[in-house]
Amino acid sequence: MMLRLKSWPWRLLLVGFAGLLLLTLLLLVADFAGVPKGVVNGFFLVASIIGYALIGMFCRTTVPEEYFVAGRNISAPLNGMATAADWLSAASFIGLTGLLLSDGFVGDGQHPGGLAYLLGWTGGFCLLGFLFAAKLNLSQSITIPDFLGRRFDSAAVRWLAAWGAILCSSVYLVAQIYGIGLVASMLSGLTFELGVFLALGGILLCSFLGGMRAVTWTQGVQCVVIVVSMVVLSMAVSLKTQGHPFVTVAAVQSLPLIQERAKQIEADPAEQSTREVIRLRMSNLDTKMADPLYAREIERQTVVRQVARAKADNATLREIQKLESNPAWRETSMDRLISAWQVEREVLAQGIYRPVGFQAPQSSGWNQGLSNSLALVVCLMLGTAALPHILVRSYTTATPADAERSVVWALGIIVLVYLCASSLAVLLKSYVLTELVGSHLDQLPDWADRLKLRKLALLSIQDYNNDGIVQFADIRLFNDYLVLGVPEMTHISSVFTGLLAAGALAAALSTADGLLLTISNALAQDLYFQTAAPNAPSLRRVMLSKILLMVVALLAAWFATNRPVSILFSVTCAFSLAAATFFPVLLLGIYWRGMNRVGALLAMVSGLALSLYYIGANHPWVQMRLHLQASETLWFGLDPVCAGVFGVPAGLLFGFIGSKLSSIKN
Amino acid sequence: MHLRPTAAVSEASPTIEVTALPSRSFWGVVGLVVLTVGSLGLAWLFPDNTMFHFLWVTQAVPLLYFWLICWGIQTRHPNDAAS
Repeated sequence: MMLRLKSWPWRLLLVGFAGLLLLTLLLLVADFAGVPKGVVNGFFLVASIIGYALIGMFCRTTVPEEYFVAGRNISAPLNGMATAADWLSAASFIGLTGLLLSDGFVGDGQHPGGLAYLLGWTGGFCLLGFLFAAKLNLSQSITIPDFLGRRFDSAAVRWLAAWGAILCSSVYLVAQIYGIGLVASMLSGLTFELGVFLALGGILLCSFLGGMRAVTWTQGVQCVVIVVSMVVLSMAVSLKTQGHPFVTVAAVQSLPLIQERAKQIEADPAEQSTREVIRLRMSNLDTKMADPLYAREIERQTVVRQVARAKADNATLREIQKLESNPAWRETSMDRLISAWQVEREVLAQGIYRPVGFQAPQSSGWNQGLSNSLALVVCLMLGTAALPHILVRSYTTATPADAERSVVWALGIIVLVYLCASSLAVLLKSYVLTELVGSHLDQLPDWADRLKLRKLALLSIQDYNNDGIVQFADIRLFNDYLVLGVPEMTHISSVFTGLLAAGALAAALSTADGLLLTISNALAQDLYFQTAAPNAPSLRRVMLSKILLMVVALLAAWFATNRPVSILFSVTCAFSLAAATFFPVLLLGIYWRGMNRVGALLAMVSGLALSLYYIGANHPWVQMRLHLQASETLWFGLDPVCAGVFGVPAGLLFGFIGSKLSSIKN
Repeated sequence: MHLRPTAAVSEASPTIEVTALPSRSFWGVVGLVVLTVGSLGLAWLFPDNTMFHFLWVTQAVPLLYFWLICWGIQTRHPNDAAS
């Protein structure tokens, strides 16, 4: 049999599964008995973090082989579970349902829809299994830069690869820490900053004490939590909406109703008038941004008049504050004012371009959305196969065959989660279209009020045409973490909120664990010890890795708490950067004898530099500073997150040319 | 190709043979590309067929990826090369 199963991973899986179900049932009973929701949800948070930390303490080690590669004796099923947990991040676990719900399947004709993410994120594991897993395992290396350095017998290659791994993983890590903060603060009621540091304690206790060994075991348990939370939640929603627990069948049953309702909404005159108002506002913003100094002056004078009138009419403080929140009044810096206008314009654009159902109104021929979808699929697939924190999991199994089998296990688990996530998106869409759209602003469904008013708002409604009725274009859904509001939307027990958040926390924590280890090992093993102390004793290596891990974690937490992060944008950029930096050099290095160190260096530098340039040049802040227009900096109209689609061919080309030229010279 | 051992962990000196892509891997990658581009192409060709998008692309294709990798890593042999 291809997937040989040993008994103990199954025991682990079953014990974890049964334990989680028992805990959920107990908390359901507690919920029905009237125990406050905060206590029930907080229990999930505390129990999760303590559990992960305990595993870290039990698995603590200072043996290098255990700390860096978990002793290279992890079985395929457990390694697959750990890989799946490592890979299922805050973006892919929390974000995918919201993304499918909001952006639809094939996108809006300009940007990619959810299908691109779904295919890219799953298909990448096929590439990993086919191309890299067995070869990496054979090398007996400890990090990806170590593998590349040894393959090309070059300290420079290792040094450059280490910086590439640190960059890709850091971009990814900040997004995960941000996700952890959101979930932890939502569950605990603490502030975002405290939520980040509370959850960070759990991560550190786990990865700091036990390295890869502890992280593997923790990720195994986290995988159970992720799968159970998504499957159980989907089944509960399916039961609630269609009366049976088969979520795919329930989604199929709901789709015709959604399509019919979407057509009604698109044809509704009130919806059309809302879209007209939004277009007008977008046009006004374009005019303001064309001459911001003049526009600011006019806006300020208007605000002064409005505030004076409000004060004369004895308006409440809140009403006055609302008037003063106008960015032209609030922002003293012109850059920040323009940035605020740009954000406002993007939000307005989403309102009218987002598909009502799961597809945008039919557009004939090739359009920008299709190019972006294809480019994104390429970046996500190649990125999945080249992310350093995923690749290092190939080192932790005993044999190359086990490394490949673990990829199969990981893909199976991820597919299960995504089948549920996409079905869940369909079921949630029916709630939005049938219950929310068309309701009166004074009589919103109770769940809409709750999602609007919670500390971490998941929904906002702006009545653009002032008719007092909610139109689809009035609604803004916060995709990144909308799924956390599913229990409220579907009126299932609040225990599911805790369960879902525990799953989301597990997803973010497990990925953060893997990323932290990758960064700290690259810093310690590939940069410091490789250059400054190549003969350092093993214990010193482990201790420095641990210290660096803590420093990196604190730095990432500080960064995440100091500025808002778009989780999906950051994660997708990390995929593009990883694809451009590592995919060409790994592919050519493993399968082409002619690849040499010059080619490897050129492949990594060209891929990374080109991708970084494309992401940087199209960043709104850079465009504002350099007075650039997106039309001038976008190549073939592709989104910045698709930078890898340029970086990978550049890396392959320069790797080939560099190797050929240097071999001729030698 | 002989590789230097890592001082920290490995005392052994494992080697990596730079080989051609195994044929199953090669055909697996081809299958992956065909399945992905074909599915997305069909989705774009019939942009209004939401039921097809849901059933085929979001549900069936990930399962086919799973089947593809199960098939692709089976019974590999050292001389099983694409070329």
